[in-house]
Amino acid sequence: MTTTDATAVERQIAMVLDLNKCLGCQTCTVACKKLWNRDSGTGYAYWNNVETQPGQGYPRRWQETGGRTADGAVKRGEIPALDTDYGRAWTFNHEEVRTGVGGGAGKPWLRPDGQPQWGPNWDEDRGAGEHPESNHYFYLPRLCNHCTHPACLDACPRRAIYKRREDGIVLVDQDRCYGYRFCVEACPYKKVFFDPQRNVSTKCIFCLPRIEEGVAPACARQCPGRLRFVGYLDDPAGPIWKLVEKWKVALPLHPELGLGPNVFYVPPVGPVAFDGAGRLVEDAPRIPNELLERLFGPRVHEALRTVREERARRRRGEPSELMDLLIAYDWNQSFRLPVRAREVL
Amino acid sequence: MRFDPVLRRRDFLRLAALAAASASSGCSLLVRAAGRGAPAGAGAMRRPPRLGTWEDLYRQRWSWDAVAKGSHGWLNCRSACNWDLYIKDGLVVREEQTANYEASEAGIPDFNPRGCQKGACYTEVMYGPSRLTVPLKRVGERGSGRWERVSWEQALDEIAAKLVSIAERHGTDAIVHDLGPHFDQGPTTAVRPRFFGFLGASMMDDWAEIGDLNVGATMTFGFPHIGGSADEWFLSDHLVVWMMNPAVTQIPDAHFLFEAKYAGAELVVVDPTYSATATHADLWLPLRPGTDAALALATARYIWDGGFADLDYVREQTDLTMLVRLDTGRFLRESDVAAEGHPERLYLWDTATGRAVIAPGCAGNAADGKIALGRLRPAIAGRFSMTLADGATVGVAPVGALLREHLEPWTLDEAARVTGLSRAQVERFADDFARARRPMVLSSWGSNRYLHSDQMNRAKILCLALKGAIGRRGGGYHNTGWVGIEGFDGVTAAAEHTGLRGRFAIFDLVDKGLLFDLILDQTMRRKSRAQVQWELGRNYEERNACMANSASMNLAYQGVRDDLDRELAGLYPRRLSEYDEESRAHGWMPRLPRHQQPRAWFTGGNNFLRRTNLPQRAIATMWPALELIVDVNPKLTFTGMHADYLLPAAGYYEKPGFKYPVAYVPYLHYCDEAVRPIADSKNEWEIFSLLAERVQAVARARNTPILDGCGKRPIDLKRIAEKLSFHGAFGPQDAMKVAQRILDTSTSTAGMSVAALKETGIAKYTGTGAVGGQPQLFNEDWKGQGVLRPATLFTEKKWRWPTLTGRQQFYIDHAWFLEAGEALPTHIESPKAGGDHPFQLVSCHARWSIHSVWRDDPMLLRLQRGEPQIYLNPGDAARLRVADGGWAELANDYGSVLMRAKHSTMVRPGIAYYFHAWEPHQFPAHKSYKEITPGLMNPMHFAGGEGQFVWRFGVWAPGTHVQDTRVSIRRGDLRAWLARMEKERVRLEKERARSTEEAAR
Amino acid sequence: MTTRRSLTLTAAPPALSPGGYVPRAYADRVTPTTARVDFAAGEEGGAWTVALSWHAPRPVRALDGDPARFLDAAALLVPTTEAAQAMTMGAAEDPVEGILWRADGERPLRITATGWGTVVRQAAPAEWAADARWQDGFWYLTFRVGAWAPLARFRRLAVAIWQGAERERAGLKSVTPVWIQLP
Repeated sequence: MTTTDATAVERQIAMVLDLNKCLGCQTCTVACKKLWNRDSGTGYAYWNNVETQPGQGYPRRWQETGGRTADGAVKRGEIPALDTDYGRAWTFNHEEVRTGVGGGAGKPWLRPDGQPQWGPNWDEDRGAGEHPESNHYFYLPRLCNHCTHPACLDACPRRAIYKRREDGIVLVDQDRCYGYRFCVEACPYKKVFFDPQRNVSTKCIFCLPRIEEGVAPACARQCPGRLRFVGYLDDPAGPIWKLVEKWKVALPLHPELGLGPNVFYVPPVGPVAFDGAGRLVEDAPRIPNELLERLFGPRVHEALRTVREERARRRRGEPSELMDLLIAYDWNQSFRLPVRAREVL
Repeated sequence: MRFDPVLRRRDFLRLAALAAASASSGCSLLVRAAGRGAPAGAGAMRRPPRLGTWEDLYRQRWSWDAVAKGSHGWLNCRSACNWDLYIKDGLVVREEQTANYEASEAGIPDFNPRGCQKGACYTEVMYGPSRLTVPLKRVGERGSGRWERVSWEQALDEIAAKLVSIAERHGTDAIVHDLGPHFDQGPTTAVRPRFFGFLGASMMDDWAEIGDLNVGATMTFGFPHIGGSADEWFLSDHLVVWMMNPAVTQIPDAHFLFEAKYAGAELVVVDPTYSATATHADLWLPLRPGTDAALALATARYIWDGGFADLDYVREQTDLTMLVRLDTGRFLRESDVAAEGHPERLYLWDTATGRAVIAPGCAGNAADGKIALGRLRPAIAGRFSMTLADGATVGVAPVGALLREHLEPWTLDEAARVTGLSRAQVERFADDFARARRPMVLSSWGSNRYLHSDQMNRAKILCLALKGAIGRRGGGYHNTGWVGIEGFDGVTAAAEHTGLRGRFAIFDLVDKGLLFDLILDQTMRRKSRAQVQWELGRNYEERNACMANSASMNLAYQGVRDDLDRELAGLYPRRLSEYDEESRAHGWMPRLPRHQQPRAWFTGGNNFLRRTNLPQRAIATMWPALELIVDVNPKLTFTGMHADYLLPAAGYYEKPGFKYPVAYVPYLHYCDEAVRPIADSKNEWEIFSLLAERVQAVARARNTPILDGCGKRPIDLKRIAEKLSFHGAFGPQDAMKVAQRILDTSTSTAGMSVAALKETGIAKYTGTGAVGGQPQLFNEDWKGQGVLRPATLFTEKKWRWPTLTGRQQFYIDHAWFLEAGEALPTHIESPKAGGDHPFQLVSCHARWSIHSVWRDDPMLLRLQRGEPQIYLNPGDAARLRVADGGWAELANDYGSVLMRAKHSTMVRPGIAYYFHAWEPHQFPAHKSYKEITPGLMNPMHFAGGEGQFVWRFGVWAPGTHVQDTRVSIRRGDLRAWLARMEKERVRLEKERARSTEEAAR
Repeated sequence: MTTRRSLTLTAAPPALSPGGYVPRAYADRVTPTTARVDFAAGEEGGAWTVALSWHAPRPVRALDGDPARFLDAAALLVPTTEAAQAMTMGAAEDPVEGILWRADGERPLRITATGWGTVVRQAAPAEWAADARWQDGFWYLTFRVGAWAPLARFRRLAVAIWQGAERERAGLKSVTPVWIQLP
């Protein structure tokens, strides 16, 4: 098996997330966690997380610690530290508090063991800028990008990582993996997680059992903000193709890394900014362009322009296919997945 | 039979390729909308795959034995969502939204999938570390944490004996039932008011006390709850989120806002905080906290002066036409003009005929229940004179004239000065609002937490009324409407029989004369059906229910009277306690228990010691007087920790129920008993049925006499179980049967059955019904089709609003209001509660919990920082040298608490912001921010005696207001602080011991 | 009969590691973390004992649930054909096999390989054992492998050492560059 074989696919499944609809509610995070990551070794691991941007994210400093330089060359990545970068799954002293209520002011109170230093949502709603003229933040849900050229696959000396031919889902073979964690190091999105109990690395499986039956991944299907679209990149009847290829408003995260992410984002349009005197500054967006460009590349400006123009069109009472798509009138149409067969016992 | 895994794998791949090919060729027979519900169908098992490759390990995880439908019924969550509950090995292992809603109309987004992160992991709470599963009896001091497990028999016998003896010694109203805000509309909630009703206990209405009651809306509309289905948001062209944070507190519905933006609407968020909702706005208005009325008043003036007002609407639908006497400030009444005149017959000035005419639809105009003006052309400006019955001549003016005069100072510049916004911001806001065709204001329950929130909401509603937006499709005021399930009321109420006999019980329960009059009024079409229901329901409550608002009880018994008098000193002509006494003397505001401190306390859907303001006062005064404290709850709460008995109730997925019916999503949500109650827990229908049997047995053994309840109805404890069970028709195991009865007896659930709901989980309401005898939506045409809109009964059918004037009322001529200068909506500065401290302590409902449920759940705590946090602007924090993640000490005149600081740019400098409902036992020394939150009460809200100012459950009551609280902040030193608290505790203990000793001497 | 030696190790060349990442990201790993190993091998009644000792100032004996920790480890490798090479971890036609010890105290594993990235770990035969002790900055490890046919046949061994504290794992290791030929 050569590297070329390993990444060649017949079709590529993809997801689009409209950040203008994200509530930061983390239903996706919980849905994913409940379904896939309840083992003792995966307490700290969130295949799906939602982070506040600007912010250090989860794991902390993920944008600085991956195995790629800004021009896509390989560099040595880092494995995030449990307490200071991921945040361990704190345990709590419920029992102690329940039975030790009496006594003085020093009686036990409910709290995490140890002193938490970081967690999957540590910088929730922190943002940047000066209140009220320039403060800003938005939510960035993240999952494995199921890249066209996955850094994790490239990093695995055992070839335990593969890209499924039929849908392009990137998987860590749990039988082959010996827990070397080069994938954890190399992935610039830090979306491979090591399970120290089982001594294997794990990652988002794009809910493959569900996909196989035409059911959208839990993070997408359970999203009450209705901001996720799932389908195949080459399906011109589906929302993915229209948002990514036709309207070009959905962009990959950190395209400069050259991995070809297959998760795309409609960038956020923030409220109007003010100047120091409280005058509205219509042409200076509250979310700095540089921040968005850093995340989504230079095409973000065109994407934002398209979203604004189409919204203005709709505001004038004219039709807009793009706005209709993003409104997602019929939620079921957000997902277009073929049903496949399945074997049962 | 064994399959060759290799062959099977190959077949599988071939099929997959086939499906893929058909999809890409556009021949998409196999492509389906992938959001559709449980792929295997509700109730069906999904078998795990055989283990062929490692991928099958994951396929195995996505398998289950059965699926049931459920929701989070017993939860004070303003939404409702349908969930598939996945059952494996007898446990509910996870939940996922069913997502089987439909769009209300073509061209409007559907409701799917609803849900939130909390609903997606209730199973964590259900099987979590705070779950109660066996009956417990306290063996140490209250709050000592020492419990022993007892049998249900022992627990219920002991509780029954104590209840009967308390009832005999102190009267049944010394038993307080604090249901609290967590409840559903199924049998397990219904049994509580049913049990406590037949027991004659005092039932507390917490709505206002917890700060949720929109009394500003009651003043204006005559009722507090207004709002249709959430998809109506999508129809607006100008959405103003004004004291609400739907991205955090209305998660399943928030998408309609952002979709409306895509459809062309402008989204404006008015909030000092750059909230999660504000991040999505077109325009964010970061005003100074508590100055919202100023912004609204300037906007109203701008609308008026700019000619943007819908004057036809204003003349018909508002009181701006009603004449006010310029000498007294009172409405001109027929009793002023004619000796035999009716005091609630009010006038407008007809410019067509040049004379004062009795207003159609005003409260006293019994002949005419409609407000349509016909040929009348009433003035809203000018001054006129009237000759009174005594011959004197007085000047009169329509409310509109007074209002315009009142608005004169509220220029854009003045609003900018008061709100701290720039003139440009205020102007942009006012101009966009004024030019909008369908402006809509979202104003949640959280909009009632300033002392002067009533003014803010009155002023906001004024802007909408001037635009003619209220009751117009796509416009109006959304603060949560309710569909009503009358069958639920039927089970809670005092009727003890089923069938015809039960139905005729109404003749015993309401005033017969009134009943006759109302039936006649409805027949003669002098009153709408809704109006008749409204008045009948009120009469039923007045005559039968031992209900009172809990804020009045707190004021009487919680030991906060002096605190609140001090807080309000100088703000009103008299002291708060004087208003309270006057109100009681007039019989305006009921107080229970009537004669003394509560002696027994039952709770369940509630967490009183977590929720109440200044809980340290309650623990020092009210708690020691209680001879019995019982918490019937699935979960251990802070209040439960200080109780005598903990009775484990079944959790949300362990009992039949109906989620309470918010109009946001106009579907009934059924909660199935997906699994049996865990361990020894029982559903409340069973618990209270069994308790009623024990109470009845004890009362019979002791031959307990007939007691006088709360003075309204005789209470016969010797028959309580007979009555509760509808004379044996519904036994302790019959919760499911009761659920069906509720469906069978509700107009909003026509044709629904529990059996069908087990399959679907939801069904669209078939009408708007009534809650507690109160119609809420005032839309009798809606039968389950289309967007659900409120108040069309008034705006389209032209029936009168349930106010004194019969209109949306902006002028209040109650003597107290006139005296206090609050007759018209106005801006009043937020007082400094808790002392003159530099930071304003502002709260928001939480993203991470529904009140204290989920607050201590490890899974969700890990997605926060694990501890209660106080959010500070980074600049303030730097100045105070309070580190991010470090301790911050918050102190004011009431004490001091420690919280973890969180730096956030969303917070306005000068504000200390928190998300509410942390349990006190999550704070050092179990002292939460509630210990420094006095919870102001507004004396105006004790008013009564006329028009819409009549106490009624969840309609008109004084509440508490927390947002005016001020604190000082400094860097916290845990060890030193704990030492200080311990010293203080010891000092207080000694003081108490000394005073007890002195009292004994 | 016991052979005692002090072995000089080299850093296994990351360039040999499959995939595009490790050869580039670790191209600078040219000096061995473990430069020397004291080695003793003996056969008694057909059963083999190999003792290793090396300087390990910061031993890692448990992951402690930490995804960034790597265990100390050591392995012996033997050829199964005349042509099999240690540095390449064997080849398709020339497999190698060995025993892997990890410092977590679990039983050692039997490994086989036909080139870099092909290692297969299996439960070791019941009579295989690895006893390790860390003292004063040194690991003292003794492998007991009973009768081991390829070793008996070729009398060649290679040693690999991984220091977890230096995040060594897989091809990041210190190795004997060529077979140690036993007498």
